[in-house]
Amino acid sequence: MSRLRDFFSERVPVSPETMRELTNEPVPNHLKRWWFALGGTPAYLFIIMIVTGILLACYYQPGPTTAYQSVRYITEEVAFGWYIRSLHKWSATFMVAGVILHQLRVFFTGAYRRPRELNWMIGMGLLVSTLVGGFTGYSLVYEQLSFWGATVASNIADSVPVLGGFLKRMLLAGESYNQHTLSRFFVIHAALMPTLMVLLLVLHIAMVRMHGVTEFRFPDDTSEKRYFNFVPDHLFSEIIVGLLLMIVLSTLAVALPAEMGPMADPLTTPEVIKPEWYFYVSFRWLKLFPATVAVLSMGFIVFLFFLWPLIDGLIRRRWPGSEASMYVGAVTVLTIIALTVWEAVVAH
Amino acid sequence: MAGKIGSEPDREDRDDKTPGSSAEPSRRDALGMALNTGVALSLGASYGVLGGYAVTYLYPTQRQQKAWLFVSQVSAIASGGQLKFQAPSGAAIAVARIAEGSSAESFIALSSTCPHMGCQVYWESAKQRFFCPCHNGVFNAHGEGIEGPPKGQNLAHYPVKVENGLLFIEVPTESLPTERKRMASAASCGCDKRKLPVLQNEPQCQTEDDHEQA
Repeated sequence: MSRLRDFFSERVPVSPETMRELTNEPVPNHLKRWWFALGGTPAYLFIIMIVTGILLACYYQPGPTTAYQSVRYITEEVAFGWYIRSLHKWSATFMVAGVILHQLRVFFTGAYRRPRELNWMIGMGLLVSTLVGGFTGYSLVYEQLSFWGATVASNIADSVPVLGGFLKRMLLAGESYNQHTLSRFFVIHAALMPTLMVLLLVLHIAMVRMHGVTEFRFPDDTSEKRYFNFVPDHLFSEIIVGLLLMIVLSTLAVALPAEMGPMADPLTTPEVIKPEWYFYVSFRWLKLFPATVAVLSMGFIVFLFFLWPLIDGLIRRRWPGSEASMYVGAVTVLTIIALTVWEAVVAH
Repeated sequence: MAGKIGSEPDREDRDDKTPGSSAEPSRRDALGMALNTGVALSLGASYGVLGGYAVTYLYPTQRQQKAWLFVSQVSAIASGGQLKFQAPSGAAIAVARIAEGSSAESFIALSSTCPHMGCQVYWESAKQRFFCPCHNGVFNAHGEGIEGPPKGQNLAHYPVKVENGLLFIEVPTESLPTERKRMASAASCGCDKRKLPVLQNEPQCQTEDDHEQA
């Protein structure tokens, strides 16, 4: 045993003390509250999606003549194909929700403020990548929603002044949806976005380690010590969250498995069509304003939130103690909820 | 020292060529630095060229295939009348004669693609309008946007021309596979019922089992 230990300690020259220091970051007490641990949940879901995504890619065939039938084959004929696909789909839904909730928590607790501005921007990058991953994911099935979603997205790109036509052609691999389009969406979904997200995640976690977790002290926290150990305390919390998620995802996969909608028909847009719930807000926005105004305003709002830590910094320098971010956040969240509910309850 | 991070040699043991590390850089140092910078810039330029090639590689060059197809004799469409033309892609196109003359300007061929976000509009005969289900765009019978985000925009017109009293239209000739085409081709050549979707109001495939039961 000691020879084995010597073998590894010679080849991995890190002392036990250093290893303990690296893995056992002191965790502030407020992280015992689950809503402060929402950052780890998307990371866990991301791993599930990578694993199930690799399994799905073993049978999936991009292309308008093959995609729909290959997804049907996975869903109906491959052993446990329905389960793998349903886990992938539900993980995606939960991941979008988890990233949004994590972002909201960070926003409303002001945890993005100096010196963590850059990490907020990385987090915004992760949020946008997650949404792009979700969109390209349901585009791959080549059902009606996939086709018309991709068509609308390419026209959103086309609405950008100057660069629009170029962006649309790059996205569709042609002037309109064609036999090369799905391959491009598959590359974005299965290669580009995961690579980008891994890079952003590594940066995100590295920044959290460098700055430490933002510390909050609650009135009911009467413990003498301000921190607890990452190993084993927080690690076990994450394991419990992981197990709970696996139970919930499996239950949903069995109770509400991923289904097949009608195959894409490029000649007929369904009389009622809606994207996934997380795009309801942008879908409604597109109904309210002319295309270019809607697209530019959406891009501008996302850009503002990307830069929000710097804007907030300027505001607080001018008016120290200002809580403008609370009002901006509340108005934004209420608007998003209102537009989402509006889109959800009406047919058109 | 093994088994510990930080066991690198001391800084004094290094042959330090870090810029600014020596008090008086020699001409040799300056030349070396210029050379290294040149190599680094060349590497950056080569990556730039690769990036440019990658964009060219990804940018589609093939234009959509289109062809002029015969629609009808000009005299067969009365002024104010219209007919439905089906393109090879399957798209239904409304071709209307809007004036007495027999030139191309007397005809319009309305595209069913919404100019807003590219969805397909459909005709609501009760309201005498085209409606786009994606973002609630409304067009009148002439294809003019009158409500919703595409207000002020018109449904596109396919190019038409008249030659020797014959009306032609320029339409895309390529199409993507659709469920209906798949059903039709499968029905004509025998099909595996298990692997094909069953659509409502569509003729379904007959399998050997069906024949036996009959």
